[in-house]
Amino acid sequence: MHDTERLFREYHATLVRYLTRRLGDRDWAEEVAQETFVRALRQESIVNERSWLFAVANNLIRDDARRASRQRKHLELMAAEAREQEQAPVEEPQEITIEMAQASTDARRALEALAERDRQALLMKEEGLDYGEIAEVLGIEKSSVGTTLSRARRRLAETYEALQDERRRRGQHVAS
Amino acid sequence: MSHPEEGLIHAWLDGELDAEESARVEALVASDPAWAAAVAEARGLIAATSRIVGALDRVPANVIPKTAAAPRRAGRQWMMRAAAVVVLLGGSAVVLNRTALDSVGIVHVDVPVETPSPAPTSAPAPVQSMPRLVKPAKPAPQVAANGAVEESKSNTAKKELSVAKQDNAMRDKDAAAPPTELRGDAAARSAVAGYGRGAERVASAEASARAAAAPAPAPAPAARGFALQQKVTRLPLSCFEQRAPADSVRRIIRLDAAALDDSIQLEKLTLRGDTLAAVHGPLIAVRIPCQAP
Repeated sequence: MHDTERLFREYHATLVRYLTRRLGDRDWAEEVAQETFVRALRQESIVNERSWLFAVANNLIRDDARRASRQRKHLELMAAEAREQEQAPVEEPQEITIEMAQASTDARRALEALAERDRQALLMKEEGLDYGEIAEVLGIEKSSVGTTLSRARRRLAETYEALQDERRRRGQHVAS
Repeated sequence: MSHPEEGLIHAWLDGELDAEESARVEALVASDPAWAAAVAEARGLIAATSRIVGALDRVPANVIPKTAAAPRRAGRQWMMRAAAVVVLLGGSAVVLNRTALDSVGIVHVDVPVETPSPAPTSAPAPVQSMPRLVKPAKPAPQVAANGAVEESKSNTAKKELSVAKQDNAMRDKDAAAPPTELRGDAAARSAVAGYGRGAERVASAEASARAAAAPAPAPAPAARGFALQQKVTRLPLSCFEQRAPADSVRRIIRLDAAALDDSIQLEKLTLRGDTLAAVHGPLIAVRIPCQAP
């Protein structure tokens, strides 16, 4: 199996999940992920694969945000094949309650309340990147990743709780 | 009694400390209630974070509206009829010479006889060593089946593609149309075109099969003007070296700007920076300097 193909199989799902969580848009996430792997294809050598892929993906998002004429496309075959190859168990369609949808909305708002670097660090940690990899992607000292993450986690949890409390208060107000 | 260092505690809980530091934190947690409380809080924050981030994944189906494909404009129809699309996956070296826009489109596609390359004995050639992203899939059709292109099959190595003559009047109309009449994606592509290194030339597949693509944002007026200028100004040939699907045959794809545009318009190819890719196939090629055919 070729190296880039292995990269794709190994990291595609993780990268897409990270990007989807970060962007809130699966299609955009897949587009960025695929472009990331195209870049990998053109790269002679990659020392730290995971941090390289995440760094490139982050740069692409930044570049995309800068481009007013960003357009979307899909290399559908690649994504479809990747999904097949990942052999994820077929999940029954999950019934989403309104509470779950609200929790998702609050989570998105809480995440967006974070500073960009904190958000990236937190989401990368959730994808299993270690402190060295996170530091490499963000261009910070490894010793400061713990502080970054502690701040991000606290802020996320506090904001989320505040949003939930506000929602509960509104619900009580409407009920009374 | 020292003040708990939150960052250090998170690093410890994440298993990122070396043995010495880890032992120090452990001792502090065991002996200092403030540190123990801080660790308990940090554990709660870590768990809450995972729960909250996990909630991001619970997006109900059809809640985030998929953007419908932009309605096809009437102005595009002529292009569908007239454009010649060349997506060659199965050939080897492909040379496409397209005549001027104003002439009858007889497109000569020279396909030299494939001769399998011998296995590399020393350092593999760059193309042969290039990785592929996907396993070879079913090849995309070589010629768009839109009625505009007829392929005269031949056992020889040379094929001729007869392209229906483009409607000059309609083309002139397009050229004279105000910038707002241009397709958004064409304008956006051209706006960032330039064929220079680093220039990002993004082609959008406007309506993908699953209609999941977002609409192309409207280009800025300045971009449209530039697009219009480029539309009527033929650009030089662009050459691409195929990198995926990987095989032992080196493939060079030569496309002039008009043919490339046609292919992009018909959603057969996309061009992103210097990377050419098939929208519905595994083809990936990168731009190289054109050699004399």
